[in-house]
Amino acid sequence: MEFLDIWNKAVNGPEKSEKSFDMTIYKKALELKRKYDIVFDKSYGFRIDKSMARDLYNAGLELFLELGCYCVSTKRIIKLSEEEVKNELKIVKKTIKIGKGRDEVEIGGERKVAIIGGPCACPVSEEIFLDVMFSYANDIKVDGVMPGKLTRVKGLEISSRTPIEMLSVREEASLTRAAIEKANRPGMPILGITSVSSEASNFSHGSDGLRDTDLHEIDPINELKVDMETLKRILFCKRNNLPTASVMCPIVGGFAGGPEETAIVSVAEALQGFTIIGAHVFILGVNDINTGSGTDSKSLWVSGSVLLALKEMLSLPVGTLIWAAAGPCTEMVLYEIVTKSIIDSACGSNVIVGTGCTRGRLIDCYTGMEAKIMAEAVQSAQRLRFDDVIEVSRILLNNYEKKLLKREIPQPKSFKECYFDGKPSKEYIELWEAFKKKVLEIGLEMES
Amino acid sequence: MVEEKILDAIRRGEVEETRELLKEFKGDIMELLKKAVQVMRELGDRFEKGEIYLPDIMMAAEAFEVLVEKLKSQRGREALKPLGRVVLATVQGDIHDLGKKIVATMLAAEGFEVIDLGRDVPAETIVECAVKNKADIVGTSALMTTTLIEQKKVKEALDRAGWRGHYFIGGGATSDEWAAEIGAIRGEDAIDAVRKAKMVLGIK
Repeated sequence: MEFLDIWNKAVNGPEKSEKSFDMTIYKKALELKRKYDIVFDKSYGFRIDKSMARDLYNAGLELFLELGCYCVSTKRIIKLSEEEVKNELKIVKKTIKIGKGRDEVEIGGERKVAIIGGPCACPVSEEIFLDVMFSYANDIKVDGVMPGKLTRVKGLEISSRTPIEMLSVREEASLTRAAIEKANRPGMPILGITSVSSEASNFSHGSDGLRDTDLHEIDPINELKVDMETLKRILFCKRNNLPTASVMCPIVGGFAGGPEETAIVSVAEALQGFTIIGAHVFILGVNDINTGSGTDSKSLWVSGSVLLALKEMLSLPVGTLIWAAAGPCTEMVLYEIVTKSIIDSACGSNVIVGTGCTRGRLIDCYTGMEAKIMAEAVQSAQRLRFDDVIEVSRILLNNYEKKLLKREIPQPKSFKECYFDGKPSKEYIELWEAFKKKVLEIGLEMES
Repeated sequence: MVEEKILDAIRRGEVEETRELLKEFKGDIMELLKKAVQVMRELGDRFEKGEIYLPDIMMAAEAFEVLVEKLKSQRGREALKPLGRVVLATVQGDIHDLGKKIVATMLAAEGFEVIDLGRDVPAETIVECAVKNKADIVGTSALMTTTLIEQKKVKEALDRAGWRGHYFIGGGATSDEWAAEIGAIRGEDAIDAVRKAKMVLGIK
């Protein structure tokens, strides 16, 4: 879609107050949930109904066509006709190559699930930023990296909408580039980097920062919204012909409502991503309003169901982003990452991004081990039938979900406590190996 | 009978139904309001337990507002003195305002007058609004660690402006340590924020 077509809709589309748009989303999603009989049913334990995929997609499409996307800056609705949506979806490529040379990665189609590891914009201190990013880039099972957010840059406080914010974003990019070069993977793709200010996001692009072969992130606003900064970012990426990912983190229990409504809205957000945003990849980072993580039954159901619907009806590159409540070197984080990774890969995710441990709340609690765990979990799921993955997930959930819901989250270890000389600690490795032995008994076989 | 129907309509967030039923209501509207506040509290509890969702609360709050407006039109705007006046905003550089909206809805349902300035709001705008409206409480939200510093800037600007109210902070990036460092009161979640707002204003 041409940028000026989107712009024209953003400034001339139907007017509406934001509050009214928020309420309409829920009411419409509720109506469509009933019309298409979309049901999250936990009465027989956790499950994902494959036969619901078509109905869920159609409900999401109907919602997107009726509501469109709200521009909070112009207070107008960007609305697309059914024909426009169909035409836009037709031109999205089924696969996208990111990265360069021997480090190039293809996302989409029937290719292996790509693993993008990193703190996912969670806070990381300047003095260890490079080491943290190196811990991801240095793991052979990791295909790409997503940087964290610097807490200070050159020792300075980072204040929004200042040159220092721009500097911090560029520094995140250049330190990440230095990390992948140190790992001797110079062509490894980077996913990122966004800030609320488009100026700062775009400043990540440059010879020592993100390149034309990296996957440039565009983050719309929850739910089904953009603002002037998003539009400026879209223009920047389109004009520079950059590979882009629309990263959306819908909140179960938030503006969309419960799990069924959130699933319907998430499908609409994928359509928004492939059409209005012009993304090559849609990445879904579902999280729950109460737990803040994406690893409880409701969030897992939403994510899995939406991925299945998109796979069956679109077969375009889609991914998932992991938000975990626990942090490094805890058994709980292993349960969370493994459960989320196996479900989403079985449901058709082409790329898994993560892990945003500690719900992104703690500084320096992110390590490359979590990405290695994601990769090994995905590999193990590929040996199982879909129904077996769901059965295994049910058992895994029984081991941590109660604690998650009660917010009984174990104390995590920091990067400095988990990594020494670029390698994970003995304690973390032993914890992971013991976990693998434990889950072998329930049919989840992972490489040692 | 009508009273029960009104309370039920508020519970279900039916704005028009509430408005129509209020036309039939002949009882003491102040008593009805007290019962409606209980309904909102009950919904708040259910929301906290994950039994209902944010839009349910928002719709109920809209229906509740119909009752408040009716009372004001009957007895004059002074009849319903708010528990306090609160200015809320998500700080500059942060566009995450879900949590703040929940707090705004809960405070309004409890009887506070809430001025919600929205998201990505500069410190000067917050201070100007707080001073102009003689706010009892100013609350800012920051989800991102990188925008925490804005909460400190707001506090400093409020102090410079000579504002003498209670400064609240909330949001995923905040901690009790941060609140202590900048001289703020931290709401762990919406329920906690409402409880502490009542506490600092001496409301039981």
